[in-house]
Amino acid sequence: MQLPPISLGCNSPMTDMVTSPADDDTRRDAERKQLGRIWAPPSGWRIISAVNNTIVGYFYIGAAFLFFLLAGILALLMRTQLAVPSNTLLSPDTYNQIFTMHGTVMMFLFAVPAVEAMGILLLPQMLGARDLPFPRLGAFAFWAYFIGGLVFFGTLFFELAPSGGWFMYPPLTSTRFSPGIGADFWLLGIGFIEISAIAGAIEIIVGVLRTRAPGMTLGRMPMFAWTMLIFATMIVFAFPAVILATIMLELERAFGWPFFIAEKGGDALLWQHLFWFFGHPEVYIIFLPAAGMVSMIVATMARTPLVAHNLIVVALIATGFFSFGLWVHHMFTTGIPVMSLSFFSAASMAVAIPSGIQVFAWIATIASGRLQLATPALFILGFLFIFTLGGLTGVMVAMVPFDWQAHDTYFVVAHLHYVLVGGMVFPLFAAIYYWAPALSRTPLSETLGRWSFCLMFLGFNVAFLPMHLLGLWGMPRRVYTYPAEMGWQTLNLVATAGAFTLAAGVAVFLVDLIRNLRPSVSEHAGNVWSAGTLEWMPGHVFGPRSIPGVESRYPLWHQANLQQESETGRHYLPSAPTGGRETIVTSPIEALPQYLLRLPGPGWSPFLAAAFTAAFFMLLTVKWVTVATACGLLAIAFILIWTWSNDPEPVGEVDIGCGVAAPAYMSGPASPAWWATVIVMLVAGSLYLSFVFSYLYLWTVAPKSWPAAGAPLVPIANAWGAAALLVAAGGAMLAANTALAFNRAGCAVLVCASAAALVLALGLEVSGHLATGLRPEASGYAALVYLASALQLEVVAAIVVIALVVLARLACGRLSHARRVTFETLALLTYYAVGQGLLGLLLVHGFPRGIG
Amino acid sequence: MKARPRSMLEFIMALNGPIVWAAHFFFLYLADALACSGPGLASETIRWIGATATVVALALTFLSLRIARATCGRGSRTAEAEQHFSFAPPLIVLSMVAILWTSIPLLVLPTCAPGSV
Repeated sequence: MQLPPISLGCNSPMTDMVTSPADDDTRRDAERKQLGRIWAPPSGWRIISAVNNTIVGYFYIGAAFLFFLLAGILALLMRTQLAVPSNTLLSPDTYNQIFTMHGTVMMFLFAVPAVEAMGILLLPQMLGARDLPFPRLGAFAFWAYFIGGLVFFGTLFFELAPSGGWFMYPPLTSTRFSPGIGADFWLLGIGFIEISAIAGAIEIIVGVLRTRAPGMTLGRMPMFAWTMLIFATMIVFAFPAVILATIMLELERAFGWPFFIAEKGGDALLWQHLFWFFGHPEVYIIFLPAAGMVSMIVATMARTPLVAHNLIVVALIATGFFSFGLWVHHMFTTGIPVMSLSFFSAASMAVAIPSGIQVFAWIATIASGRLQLATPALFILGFLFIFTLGGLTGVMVAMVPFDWQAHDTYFVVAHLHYVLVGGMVFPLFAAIYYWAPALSRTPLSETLGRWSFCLMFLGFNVAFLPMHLLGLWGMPRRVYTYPAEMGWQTLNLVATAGAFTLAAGVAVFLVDLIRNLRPSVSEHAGNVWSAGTLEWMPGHVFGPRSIPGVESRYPLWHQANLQQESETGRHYLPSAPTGGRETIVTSPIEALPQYLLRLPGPGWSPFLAAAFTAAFFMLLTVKWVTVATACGLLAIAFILIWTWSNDPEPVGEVDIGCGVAAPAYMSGPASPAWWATVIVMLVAGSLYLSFVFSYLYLWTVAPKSWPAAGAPLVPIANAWGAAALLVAAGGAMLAANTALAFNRAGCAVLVCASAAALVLALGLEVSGHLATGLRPEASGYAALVYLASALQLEVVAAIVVIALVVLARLACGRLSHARRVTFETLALLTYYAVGQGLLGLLLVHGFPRGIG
Repeated sequence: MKARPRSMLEFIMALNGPIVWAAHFFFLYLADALACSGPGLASETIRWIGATATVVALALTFLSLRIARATCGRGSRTAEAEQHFSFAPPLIVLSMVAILWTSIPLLVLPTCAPGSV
């Protein structure tokens, strides 16, 4: 393969030198028509079968905004209830459901999906890609979230909504204190919506690292792409902790596995550890993409490159790491030893440094340029004011003695809204006003935008500033009313007036959207702000006319004629060399073009797979097990239909423009499929490490009864047998890899042997424990022992399904030594399962013996 | 001139600073949790273990800084296109500050005093 030099500008394609201008025009016209035909979206109601980012991105951001409005209405109900003392508008139980749903919907159905939506929508255009590498995964993620989210929200109308707070602490949420199915809706609904967030994260990580325009090195990558990369990586490591927690609490509620029941050797605090190990990074998962949007908008509005670009990257990475060392600051009042608390307190203060670096860099950028005070800039200024105040109160509650006073009061409510609304909602509104001309036929109205900003800014501060005082005066969170003699009514009434003013601002924004927003995949208002990044190039349904060679952080500012050259097809991929949807895959650091990735077109399988996945989880909640199982099987069936067309027939090198020839097929470590599989392994590994933490944590709580109440251990020979089977499974897969080159039948046998060995190892392990009389309902210890096997079962079940696909592909001639991506996926997951299984055996059999 | 694509491993190596910070932080937390929960270490030894871990972490970050400076050069003097990992040196310095900062409780606080109201 021919690799071009690091400077990837592409101004004089050879084709232009040997053909006449008339021929060129004809060819370009034909190319444009061909691209338009290939990327044409489905029309009418069939639009829901679309998979490309622009259309799914619009759906995604629209759905997120819908949930923002719904959760906002819940907030208004709460504020109305609290406007006067001893109010009877809402019953205590309804109020509990409403505040639980407000927090849950805002965090899980609005904030994370909204920033993920902005990523799906903007990243391809910003990176110069035709689409992200896994469009069907993006569509699946959206539909799973949207359908699941609607059903979840609908529970509110049937008095079935959860009522234990958005963080669902047991024992309040155990069957003893929450006997209804509201908590189950939360656990199953949110659990699988998180899986959809992980699917989106995989798409974003691989997209940012592998589909950037040639020449867009890491040093030239737009700040929003940096933040989305860090955002998605944080999801990979943070979300598995809460997925494990939801699995454990649901197992406890449904089958009596007592992970969180103290009298059976469990511990309710374990939930808090797992939840906040996700929950605190979650705050930064929401904030970092918003910070990325701010960095993009500030540079354009100040008409100057971002000051301290490099230091902002440093700050983003540091925030991503530090945010994983803060979770215990939500648990300062739980009796953890004071030195541990202080480590987390120190880390909580330390994270202010990178946030401060960003704030000062933005201020310096504004100071070094000439700020255009349009609506996006107003929202950015509002963000700076509100977020900085929230950050300062954050440092206050990071101090343990202060937190002991302020914990569970309205001070914390004020702080978290200053951080989240300031840090995410204001930047998002800025972003919508800023990017609307790149996505819509007409920009949004400046007049309505200013009104919206003024009402929102004023309303927000009137609503939440008094809550600091209310908190300091002792008003607790989550109370449905208060007596008049507490003296809280005036400030509560002021806060309610502020909330309605804020809502009026959102209503004005809504009017603006209805009047002016006309989303389009091909006709845009244009670069009204004179921005410098690629998403402002003329857009088409297929992305850029030709993918530009990038030589600057702000290519539209520094590369004269780039737009015209791209529009006339003088850059990369001006046509569709394989006749289908394609984008260029580049190397992760320098963005050197490596190969041409063929992408799938519209199809129903992602939508149907998502609908049946949602049905599976929601029907399990209402205990329609048979129908749920049928839906689960249908979901798997549609996923299999979709994967069948993956890994197309290899073709040789093709011309991707600019005189570069690249292969149109790639397997092995350079392929996006390999990268996605590695990320899935990281997710599974994070989940398993959360399990290992849970095991060791419960041991530290009850070390003297480990194994609990003298439960007999399985003979060590069982463990050695299972370990031998696991190693054999790995060996068989290695041998299958070799056999694939020359003996397909042998390869098929070895794949079967490998999967069978994994199943047998699991069977040996579970039967060993059953034979000793150990039952998961008996104790926290026993439940953890069986949980190790349950987690292994998840991985092994996936491997068995993929092994069947591999066998079917081998039989149909769709898998060979050259065409091997499906096999590589299976092999990687098998090696992972072997590693996880061995670690599980070491923990379950080795640890009790080691401490004994 | 043919360019050699750099690998993701080099990218991950450039994150050495915060990786060492994370290892140090979780080590301190786990050591303290074990020391104070009964089954593990004698409580006073945590101070010495923590101090040793801090010295090791600082030494590792210092070494990483030397390597990063040697391989990345000074960011501002390098062409923008080549600034792949110019974030590494300041990131390591920030991590060193965070390591020192999160270690301060070792010097000033009793080890296993209950932390409740």
